Amino acid sequence: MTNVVAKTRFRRLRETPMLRVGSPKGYFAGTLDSIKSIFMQRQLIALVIRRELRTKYKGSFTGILWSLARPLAMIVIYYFFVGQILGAARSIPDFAVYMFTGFATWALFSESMASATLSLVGNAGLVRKVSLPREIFPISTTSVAVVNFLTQVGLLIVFIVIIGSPVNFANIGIAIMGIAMLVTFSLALGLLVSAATVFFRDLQHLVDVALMFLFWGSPVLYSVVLVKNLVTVDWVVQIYLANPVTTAILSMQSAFWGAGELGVGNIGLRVAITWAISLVLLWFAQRVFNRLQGSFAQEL
Amino acid sequence: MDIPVISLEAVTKSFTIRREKALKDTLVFRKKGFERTTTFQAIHEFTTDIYAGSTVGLMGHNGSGKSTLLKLIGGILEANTGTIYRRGRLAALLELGAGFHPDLTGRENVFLNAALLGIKKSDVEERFDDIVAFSGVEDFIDTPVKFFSSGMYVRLAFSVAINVDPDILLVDEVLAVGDEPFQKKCHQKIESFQSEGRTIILVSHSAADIERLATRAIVLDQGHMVFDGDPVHGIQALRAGYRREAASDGNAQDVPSATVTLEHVRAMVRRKTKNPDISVVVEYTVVTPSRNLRMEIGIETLSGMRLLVTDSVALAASMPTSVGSHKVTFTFGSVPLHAGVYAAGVALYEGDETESTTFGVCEFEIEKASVGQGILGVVPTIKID
Repeated sequence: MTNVVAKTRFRRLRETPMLRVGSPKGYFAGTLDSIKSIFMQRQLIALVIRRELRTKYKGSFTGILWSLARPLAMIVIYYFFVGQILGAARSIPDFAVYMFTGFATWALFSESMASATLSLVGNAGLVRKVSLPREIFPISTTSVAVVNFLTQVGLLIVFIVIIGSPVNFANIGIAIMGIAMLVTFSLALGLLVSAATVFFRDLQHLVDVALMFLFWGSPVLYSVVLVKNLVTVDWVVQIYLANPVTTAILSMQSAFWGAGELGVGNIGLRVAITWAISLVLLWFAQRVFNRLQGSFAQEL
Repeated sequence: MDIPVISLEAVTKSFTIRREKALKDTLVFRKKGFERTTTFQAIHEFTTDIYAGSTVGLMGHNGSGKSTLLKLIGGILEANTGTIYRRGRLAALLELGAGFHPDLTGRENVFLNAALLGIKKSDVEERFDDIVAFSGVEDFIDTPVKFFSSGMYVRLAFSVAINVDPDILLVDEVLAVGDEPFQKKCHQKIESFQSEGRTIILVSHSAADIERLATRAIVLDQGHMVFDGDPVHGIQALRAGYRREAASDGNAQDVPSATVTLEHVRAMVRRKTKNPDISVVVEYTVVTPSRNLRMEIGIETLSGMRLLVTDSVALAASMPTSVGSHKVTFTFGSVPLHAGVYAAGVALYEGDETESTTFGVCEFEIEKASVGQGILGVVPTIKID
């Protein structure tokens, strides 16, 4: 039954080396192999992201505009009720810009965490039946959050132009670095949490609660100045500021909110240090993920 | 020139079955000290090489480890100990349409599913027309797949998977999709894959599929390899395993109160001039005097197709019920059966019982030069005007 096609195949196969099946082992060599295998799947990642984006709002003719409806509604509510009625705007000039900048940054983190948590469980069908680097699922959910974030930044810029709020162009670089840091950090946590949720399904509730605390623990609706007025012990303030989400929010505010003082110096340095730590965390998270992914198919 | 494409070395896989799935349970029941996990050995020390161009049929009853082995080879599960090596492109048809999203159109899903199987976008574009033509859903390709019938859905998924140009194809019970013409197309595709030197590993409960497609059969039982060799004998080994199991279930000879025991079932094939003469000899012993006995006899192909089932009542014969040994012979005369292995089964029923008291099976082989395939071993004459 062997014909020419078969013979060429056999010849090619004989020259192909035998490879070990399974996720790469070892710490440093394994990292390289993992990065390579994820990079090989970049087309797939792009398709999965497009799937997420397209299916989320498909069937509604306004499409992706709906993804702006929720943050817009939040802005109106927080601006009017929290800013004007509760009086948060009295201590912060251009409160709407301040809040929107912080809120968009916060949403990037919270959305990528919330969706990464369920990314493996939600794609159980694929995880159980198809051999893939499973990192693509948390990577794609984080990417979707980044896309949504960028649309909100577009909205923010339009808003800033309309009301004529001042912008610190010198700090745009810091803001970009801050977002890169936040994406790194979210991805690292996303990898850890998505893998852990496979084993403990109720982790998503814990994540929900933790996100609520983190929201109020970040300077979105109030300023760091208020925190410093209340807490006089410096190291407590430093712990508060060490939160990567806070650092990212401050970097964004330092660029897009020029109407007042943030009350925190050296934001560029803070971002750089946090980014370095986040990168180490991302490496660690990927190793843990890799160690656990052999059991995903049977646990789901 | 046997080129190994897959090599398994002492592969062992066990599953830890955890009783709880929640952090809360783990924390709350921490100190209670009861067994919270059980371990289940799915594959034991499995070692074999699979060569390029062969078609391996994996057989075994449910839970014997076939699918686990396939997933280990596919890299979806990881072995606890032992190593698996492989080379060449691999495609796994473990579940059709696993990556299909109901809201996306057929076209979008083809690209997504192909990417999941590891095909480059440019390659999919090149093969897109083939994929759609094979599936036969051209008219609906731009409709969201949630509006597809289940048949269209699996056909499209199968078409994507089969058009990936793999060196190794893993197939898990997915050959039985679609309507009859589509199944025929699938089988033809598998056959053309074989002639193109691709390696296929298929899991199937259909002995007919294994017999027809496989060049080698591996029978698994509780994670052990119990047979490795040609498909026909593999099917026999599998059936022998089923029977042993049925016997050890205790409903047959093991029951001490049994009033009759079946000593022997033997089929005899006497070769005559044209068609073989088949007769089945049954010996049974009556231990305690019984009411009336009814004997049922059946002949089946190895793939389980019934050729004949009848019993002593229909044949207007009364079975001897007195204490002692009795011998019964069924003569079928010359039956034009196609060459192959067949099974004869005999069961004894007591009174009006619907459960047989005892049963036995034997196999017999027809060795005869016959043409073509099928059950009938007749050579038609042909006359051309």
